[in-house]
Amino acid sequence: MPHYQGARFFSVSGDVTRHGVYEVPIGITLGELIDNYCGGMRDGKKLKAVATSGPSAGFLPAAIPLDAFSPRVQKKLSEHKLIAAGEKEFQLRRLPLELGVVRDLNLMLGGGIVIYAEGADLVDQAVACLRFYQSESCGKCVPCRIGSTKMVEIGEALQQRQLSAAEIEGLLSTSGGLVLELSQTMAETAICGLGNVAPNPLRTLLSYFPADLQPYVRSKE
Amino acid sequence: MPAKLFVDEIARAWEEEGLFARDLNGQLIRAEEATAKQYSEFVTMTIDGMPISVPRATPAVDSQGNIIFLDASGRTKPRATTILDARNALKRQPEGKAGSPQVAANAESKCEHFIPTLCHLPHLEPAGVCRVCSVAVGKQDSTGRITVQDKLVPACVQPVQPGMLVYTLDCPTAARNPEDKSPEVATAARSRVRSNVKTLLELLSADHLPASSPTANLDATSDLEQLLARLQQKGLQIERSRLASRRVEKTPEPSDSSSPLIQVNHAACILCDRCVRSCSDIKQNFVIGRTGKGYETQIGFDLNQPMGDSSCVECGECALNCPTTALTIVKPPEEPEWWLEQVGGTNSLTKQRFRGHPGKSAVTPESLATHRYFGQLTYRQRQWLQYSIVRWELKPGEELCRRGDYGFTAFLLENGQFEGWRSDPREAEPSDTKSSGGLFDWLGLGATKPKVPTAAELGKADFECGPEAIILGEMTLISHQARTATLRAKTPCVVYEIRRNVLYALQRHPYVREELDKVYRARALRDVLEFVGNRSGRSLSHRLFGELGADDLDKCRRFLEAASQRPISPTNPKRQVDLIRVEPGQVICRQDEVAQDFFIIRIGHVKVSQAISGEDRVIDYFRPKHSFGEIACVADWNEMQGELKLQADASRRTATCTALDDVELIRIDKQVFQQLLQQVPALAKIVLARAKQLQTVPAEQPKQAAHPTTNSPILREFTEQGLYNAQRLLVLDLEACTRCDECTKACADTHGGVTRLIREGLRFDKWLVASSCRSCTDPYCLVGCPVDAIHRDGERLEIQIEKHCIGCGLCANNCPYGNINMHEQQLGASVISHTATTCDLCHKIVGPHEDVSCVFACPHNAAFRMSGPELLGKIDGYRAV
Repeated sequence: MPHYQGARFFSVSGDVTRHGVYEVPIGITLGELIDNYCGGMRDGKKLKAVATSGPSAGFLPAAIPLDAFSPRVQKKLSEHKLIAAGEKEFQLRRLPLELGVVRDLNLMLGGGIVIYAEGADLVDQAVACLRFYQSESCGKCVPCRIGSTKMVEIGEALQQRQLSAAEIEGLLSTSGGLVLELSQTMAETAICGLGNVAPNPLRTLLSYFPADLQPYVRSKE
Repeated sequence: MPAKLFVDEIARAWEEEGLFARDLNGQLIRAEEATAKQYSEFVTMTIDGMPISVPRATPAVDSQGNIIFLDASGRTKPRATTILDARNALKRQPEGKAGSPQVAANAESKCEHFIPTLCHLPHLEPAGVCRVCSVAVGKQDSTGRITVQDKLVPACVQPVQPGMLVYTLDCPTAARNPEDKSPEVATAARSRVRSNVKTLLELLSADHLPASSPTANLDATSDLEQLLARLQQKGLQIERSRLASRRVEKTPEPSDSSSPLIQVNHAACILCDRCVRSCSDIKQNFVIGRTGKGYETQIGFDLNQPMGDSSCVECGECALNCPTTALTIVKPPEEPEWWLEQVGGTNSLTKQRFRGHPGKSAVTPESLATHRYFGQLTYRQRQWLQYSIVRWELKPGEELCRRGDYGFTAFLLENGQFEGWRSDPREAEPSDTKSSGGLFDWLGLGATKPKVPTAAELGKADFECGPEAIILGEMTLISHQARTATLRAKTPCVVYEIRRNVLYALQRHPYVREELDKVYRARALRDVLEFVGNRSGRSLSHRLFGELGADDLDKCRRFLEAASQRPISPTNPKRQVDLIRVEPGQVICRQDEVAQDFFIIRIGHVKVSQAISGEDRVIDYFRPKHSFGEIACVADWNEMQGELKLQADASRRTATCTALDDVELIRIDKQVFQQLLQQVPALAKIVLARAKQLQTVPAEQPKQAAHPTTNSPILREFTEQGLYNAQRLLVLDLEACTRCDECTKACADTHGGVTRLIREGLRFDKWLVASSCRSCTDPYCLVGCPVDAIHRDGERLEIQIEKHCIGCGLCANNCPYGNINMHEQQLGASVISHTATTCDLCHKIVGPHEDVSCVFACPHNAAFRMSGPELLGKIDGYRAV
């Protein structure tokens, strides 16, 4: 029995056959939304990633390894019967589009969902999302005003193949990783939610899509 | 090694509700205005493990540290107590009552609980935009487990909540006491705060600071550099250029030097909002705002004009408060004339040479840095005020100031001894022109004689003082009264001569303010008690103390001086005799209230009104030096009952007393007043005689009420028009005036074609009170001038506006009678500057006792200059009380 009942709207865009705004009963899964409402993936491609709250939650991979969740959420996943015993990955298609469950898993669910199919260049997508936050920042507080711009600059440096493999890896290092520290500061000190979530596209890209980064590594000349 | 980031961490600090988002009943707390009720509601919380209890709200203060009063009854504006306030209270605690173990622990601990601030200033409404004051907050549940909120909170705006556990970047990592089970929590919180503050500072320095730290002295650098240096000392290891610096943009002009006094460098601006709040909230100029959005945001003047072309008046408030080098003070193109006259030199613009005053020399921001008071000012303030401070070395016998002068400077004492006289023969000298009769004598406008009396002529000095007196001449600046003593150097002395704006700046600093306030109160108290001993031609005989002999007066003075040091009782800290300040419109005592105190007015005017059959009637007004409330204070006193058969309700006030302007009163507690009467039987006799005299009045009162005299409406008009405050009103007798306008023409002719009087105004009986400076006893116009261009000088009454007026219009706004006019002035090609003008009593063309032009020019003998009380005396049907 879902915690919330009734229907809600989702605006689905990206690599689906019929993108648009759909009114769906609360509690259907992401897979059902894609297949039953949006006519499935465009050209029958495989699902690669989903932005579950516009770009605010960053990009979640289609299959998330269990150990990418904190132990508390791993337990919740099995409580909600979202993974079967022995499974090593959580299939994002099985995520119920219901706030009660999503909040319990400490994920984010917004009204706008973007679907990325196999072949989407998430580096380009991430930089575009970062630019969106930069231009939406009102400029009032320091972490968001300057931080969102620095994020764009790091993303652009990556996109223009200026960073080596080690440098890219170092961005999330616990000992002074630039993206890690910036996103922490933005999440913890920015005044409003925009500054809190602005680093998520870059952060999730670096964390979960190492393969997408490969073509952008600076070549050793 | 990349960090292990859990997917579910993305929503951290986003969906989570804050720990203090709900109250004890689970209701969401709304961002509501603080209420006065919260002054007495206390919140107990801890900061870095140290407990502290603070009220939920504190009264808001203005930029001078004065509590803001909302209305006449003394209602204040509550402001929610913030975490930063609580931290400051915690650091102040050891100075308070000692004894409790917590206080002792606080005093012992070296922990600063440092909360860095950048956009916040104590006198500004907090903006919370720079976020460097972020602290971690946690809560302990019933099982003792501590949860720390993911999101940090800004200490400058976050209101305190009960049970809040605050962690600063100074939080001690070792547990202070063994039962404390939370060192790990504290350590984690501390490092989180540190790492965030570090990142914030790196963001700021990447974009707005040069790559290398300044080599010049730290004192002269911006607040941002100083904060960075302080945080480095705390081991934050901030790397100035770890993040890429700001990309050069196509913005047309990052630097703007269009203003002659302030250099603007937009690239250094961190958008802390201090200048915007200073310009709009403090100075009410509303020139600076923000333009653009996001990363392109800038501060802008008016509609983003260059500063020099905007309506900016260059009051300097923005640059004084700027924490970066975005707004910096540059040397003015022209030095102020007063300063050149004092220290000598050449005016950079006009090349005019000045000889200067012997012994006086200029100061620099650096030379003042180590001074015990000036050192408390910021470098910028010292830089801005350097033309208002002069160092003065006096030789023995040299005169610092003389009694009766208005003066516009005060003297901060450095070393040496001064001798003071409370009377000066020059003051009592009869005026040489008798044309204006007794009025000028009464006003103390005796002609200035160049001859300076010798020490022998002055007689024995009344007092002596040294550096322990801290400051001399400050009363002239604070209460706009004439100097009360003549002072001469006894030994070689050094003083700093300061102007009013310097005193204002000093008063902003809590420590200096406290020191100066102490001196001022003690002096003001002594000054009032002094009036009894000084009955020169100027002061009117006092109705109580005036009849006493010299010995009895001295006894009174000593008694009251001693009492002013003592509290009323061990439990009541109110002093037995105290100086109190009352705002205009505030009620001093109410009709039918049981009297508690006897009052002597030091400065200002008091309206006396009585509610008679439901109607409020003004029955009298009191002038300075008047005392009131003595009968009510003795009415219930058994000693007097034998002789006096007063009615039971005689100890209640018979009238309501309301301050008309800024009033300073000496308040003497009832019991203490009775003690005084016991000590000085002669005074008791006078009071008794007055009480007996009044005893006969109550019988007549009903009759009076039935047929009120015309006093009440006249007095109401008189007080409402503020005429009590006027010393040189221009009044036109409307029965004689033909409206020929000769007075206005004469004024224009003598003042460069621009008239300073307008033959319009309110009417008082048959008199027209024309719009021309009234020379108020308490001039409102002098308050707050940012460059101290407006003042009263020497013995003369006129208000002078100096050439360095910047045209900010504050004085014109302050004048309740509209007697200061703003004129446009063309300066150069496009710059239009404003300047203020007001009646100068024609001081440049006529002597002190000659008729001023407007009066002189009147062909019908209808124009007069006179004081408010004199005008009152001319009204038919007014009977002096």
